[in-house]
Amino acid sequence: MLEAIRLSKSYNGVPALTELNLKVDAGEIFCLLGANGAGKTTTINLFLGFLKPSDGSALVGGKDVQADPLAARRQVAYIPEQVMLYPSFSGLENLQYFSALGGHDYSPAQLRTFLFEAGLPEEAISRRVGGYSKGMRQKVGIAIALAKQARAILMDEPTSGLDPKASNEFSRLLEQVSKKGVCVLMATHDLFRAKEVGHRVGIMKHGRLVATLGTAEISHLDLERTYLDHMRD
Amino acid sequence: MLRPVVLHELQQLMRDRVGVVVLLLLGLALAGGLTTGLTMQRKQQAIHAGVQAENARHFQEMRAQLEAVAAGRKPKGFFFANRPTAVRYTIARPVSPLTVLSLGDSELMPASAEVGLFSSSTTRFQNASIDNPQNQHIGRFDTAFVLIYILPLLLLALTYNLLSVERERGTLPLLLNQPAGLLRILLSKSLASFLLLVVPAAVVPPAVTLLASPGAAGHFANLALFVLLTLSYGVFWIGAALLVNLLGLRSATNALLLGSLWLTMVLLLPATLQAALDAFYPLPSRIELISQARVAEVENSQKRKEIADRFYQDHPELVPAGGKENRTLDFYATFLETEKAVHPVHAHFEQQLSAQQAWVRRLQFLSPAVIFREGLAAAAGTHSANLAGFRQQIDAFQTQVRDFVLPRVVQARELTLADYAVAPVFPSGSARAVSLPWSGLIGLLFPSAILIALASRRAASIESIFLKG
Repeated sequence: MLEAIRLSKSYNGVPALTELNLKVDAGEIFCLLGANGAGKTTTINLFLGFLKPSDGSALVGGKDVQADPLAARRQVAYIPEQVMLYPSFSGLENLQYFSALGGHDYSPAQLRTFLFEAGLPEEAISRRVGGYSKGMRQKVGIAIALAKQARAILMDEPTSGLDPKASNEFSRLLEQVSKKGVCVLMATHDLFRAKEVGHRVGIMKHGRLVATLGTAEISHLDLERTYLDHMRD
Repeated sequence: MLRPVVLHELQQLMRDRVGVVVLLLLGLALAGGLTTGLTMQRKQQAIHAGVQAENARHFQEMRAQLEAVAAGRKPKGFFFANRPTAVRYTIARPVSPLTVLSLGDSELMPASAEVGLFSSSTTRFQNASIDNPQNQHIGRFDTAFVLIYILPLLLLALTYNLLSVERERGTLPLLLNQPAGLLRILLSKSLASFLLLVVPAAVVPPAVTLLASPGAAGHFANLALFVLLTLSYGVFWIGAALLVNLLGLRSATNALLLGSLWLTMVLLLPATLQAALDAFYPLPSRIELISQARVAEVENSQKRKEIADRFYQDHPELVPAGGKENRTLDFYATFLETEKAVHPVHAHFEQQLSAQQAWVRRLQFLSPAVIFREGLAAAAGTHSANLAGFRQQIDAFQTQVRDFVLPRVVQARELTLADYAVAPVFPSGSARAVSLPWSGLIGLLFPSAILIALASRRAASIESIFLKG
């Protein structure tokens, strides 16, 4: 579903991502681990088409993101670290707006279902987003991704700043989404969460993917040890 | 365009109160502008009616005097209806029923013109209405002022942060992730501001004019031009806001850039253009013209006999029969001599003014505000070209009047009621039609298209916009 072929990006000659080769299949959750500046966010932004590769290509559902950006965007949903919404609109209205932009015309009942699935409390649905917590905004972000019926979801530190309960709910939701055949590429610092929800994890360092591990084959401790080994210079 | 974006933007503007405030300000400004326009139009119409009544009263009085004499009665007032020079006219300048839309140059135009044997194009408009020169310089707070100066400011208040606010609020990544295309989203957002502000600004003044000004309904093409010019002017400012937003700068910087553009296009460029024209084609002082006329008049009146002799030498066919003195003809000879003395200054004035106007026509395309101002005045029928049309009519009528009066003066004939029956009549109705400047639409839409094309190029490079965030 998502494929990077010798994907590279440099800013003013400074490499941020070097020859990334990666394939994430439908229904798979792939977590990118790495220190700040390792190239995780750059990878996600390249798949989203926000950045132009210096070399190589990013494919979504077999379509080159640069060659056909609109087709690629139709298949990809994005949940950033901080989901920011229109504060003078309710969660329902925000969802309705982004769904309409994505080409979907849902009834209010359908929109409520998405928000409910994402875990947003009933009382908050019609309330203005200006008064939402970060966790509630993240849930609206998830609802937007669900309503888009995307085949791939890209996430950049989505659980950063969430309390453990909210993080746990988020993990359950990801599992449900993945079971529906949606592919997930998530950049995170949270090794525990990556091991818990991911099918595979990739460790990035200085813009390179230095290791790929199947989470079923290693323990939490082994993952942490491997990660720290790679982080040592 | 994307309907959801347009609706969302409209809701956003209203909920954030920005739309409400801006709409309220536009409403107040338009109300003020329309009130000024209507007041001035009615004032001009009242003067027009007064002048027409005075002219009719003069001829009525002349006929009444002749009728009284014919009936053996003593005529009322000083009897002069039998003199050929009694055939003189005060012609009221027609007032456009669309003056409410733009006072244009109407306040610079004299409300009336004297036409008789002793009037000429040189001195005819000397008695133009006296107004506060400051008003003549900056123009009044009329509908055109609101549209030229205030509308773009309000529009920019809505559109200066079309894109930057999305980035600053953090909603840009979610927007960019939608399969809608950034330019389409921004164009749709612009359309919301356009519908909220520009469409009412274009439609309300003509609607008010149709309701408040009888006769306006017959000027459909003018009203259509007014609406289209206003919409096109709005498109230009939207184009500018789009391009500036797509430079990827902060909202404050966008506001500064767009404010500077407004200042340049609306104030500095037109003022610089006028200053340059004044420097290259300075107009002789009006006071100089009047003083010169008075000096020549006094000097010539002192040597009337000498001037008359010379006149009869040049025009032996006009020498009075039997060598009798013809004081009216002597005065006419003196009048012509005075005219001759003043003519060079007047001709120079006209020449310089024409040169200025020709350059304004050529250089107006440098500033949309100038194109718009000229277009609005032409659509409202208050452009200087309309005055020129009136002056041409008057000049043609002057020839008719002179050809009627002069032979009767030469023959020293006393006028009768029969003469009054065949005296020239100024064609009633409005001033000669002036062709409408439809090319102004191209002048506004062409730069708008360039701005939108440049914006489109910028929008294609998402990375540069995204990275600036």
